[in-house]
Amino acid sequence: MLDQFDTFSQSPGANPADSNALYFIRGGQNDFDGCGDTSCTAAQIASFNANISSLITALADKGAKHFFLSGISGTTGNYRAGFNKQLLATASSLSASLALDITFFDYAVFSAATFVSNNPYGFTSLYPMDCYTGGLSGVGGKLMQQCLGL
Amino acid sequence: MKKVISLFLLISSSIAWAIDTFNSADGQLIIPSVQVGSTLYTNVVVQLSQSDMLSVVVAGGTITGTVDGYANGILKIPSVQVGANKYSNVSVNVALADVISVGGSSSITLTLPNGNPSQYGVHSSNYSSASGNYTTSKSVVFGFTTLTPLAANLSNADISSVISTVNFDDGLFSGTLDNSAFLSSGGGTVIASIDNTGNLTSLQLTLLSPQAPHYAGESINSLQLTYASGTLTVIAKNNALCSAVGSNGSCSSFAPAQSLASSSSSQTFSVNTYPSYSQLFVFSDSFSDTGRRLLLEGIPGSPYWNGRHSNGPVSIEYMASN
Repeated sequence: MLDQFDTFSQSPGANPADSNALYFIRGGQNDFDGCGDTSCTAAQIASFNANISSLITALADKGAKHFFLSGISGTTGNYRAGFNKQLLATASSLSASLALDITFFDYAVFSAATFVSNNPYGFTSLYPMDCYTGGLSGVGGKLMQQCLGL
Repeated sequence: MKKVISLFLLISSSIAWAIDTFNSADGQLIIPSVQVGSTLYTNVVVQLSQSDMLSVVVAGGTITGTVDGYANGILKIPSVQVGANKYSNVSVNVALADVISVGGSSSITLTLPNGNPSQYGVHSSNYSSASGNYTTSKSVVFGFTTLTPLAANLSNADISSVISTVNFDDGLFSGTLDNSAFLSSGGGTVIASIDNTGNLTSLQLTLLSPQAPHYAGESINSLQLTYASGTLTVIAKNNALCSAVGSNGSCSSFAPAQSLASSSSSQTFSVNTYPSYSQLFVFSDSFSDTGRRLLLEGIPGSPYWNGRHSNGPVSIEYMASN
């Protein structure tokens, strides 16, 4: 995401950044994939958080004021929960020290409450997800209609 | 609500000329560069509809220009490859909604609607009278949103047209209705008063399904809500069996032992005004990808939806439209 910031910072609209805009930030999930998820060390997890902290600080330096910061999925095991906890602490700390408006979205809690077995929100894809085997390319995968036998 | 999505792009100082490519199999037009006003967008993918195709005009002749131009809903293409053939100086009607994706940068902005959406809500006390499946431990939660705050100093005004969504939960049945569903659910006339500070001081509405005219023996759901002078009165009916119909076609009485409930208590409507932002900038991963990865790497493919890692629009698109 710091690369994304570099791209952003080269644009005319970023100097200064729009202080009335909302800056949506969500990262860390792919970082966990990069170090083997449950194999990620505490130091690595702290560095994921530091990247996001650096991004918010850099945007704030350019004039950004309003942030929507999302955590990542995973409530089981303390590694992702630990990251989310650190992220919330980062949001609180930066909000106070830089006078920023940061809304933290606890994605882990949201997803855990949403994708539950009794499917209270009526997701039609719960069954086909079990059936779908095409991966991201889609090659060889079944269409939803095929999964449903239609 | 009109949703306008524009993408924030890094403008290259040197523009490589390239022709558009149209895939007749899926109707997608890939545009290397298109000038819109003072902004140059790169790697744009547009899904042309059948009506778009009917608007195609091929002027032919010597190619004019090096990049596409877009103004007033018309895309002007210097040159486009369709299968083995090339066509020059082509124009086609394209709506912004036809744009599937735009490449060139990892950060995007989405233009937000003007105004400060507001939410009005109230939670009744528990039912004082309840029968059938209702109990006195249940209550009513009701709210509605408007695209902009209701004007101050309204006196018994019909606000039905400015209500964007209605949410309700009467303890047995709950739901969220958009404006059209709300209007077709008997809430067509909503009378409200607003004081000089923007607070709601009175409201009258009824949610009704099915609509009148009713007939004896018909099963009816309704939620009637009256709010005045700080007193909220709610009357709920759940699959209540109509026993008699009045001359106006409305059910005038219900069979005994039906699910009926009511309460009257001192309550206050809360008013929340959402913050309004000028733009939305997104720094994220595939959760927020609106199709760039498909453009760059060819994934995710079908059956994922339009290059999203999703079966529909992703969260930031909903966020931008609200």
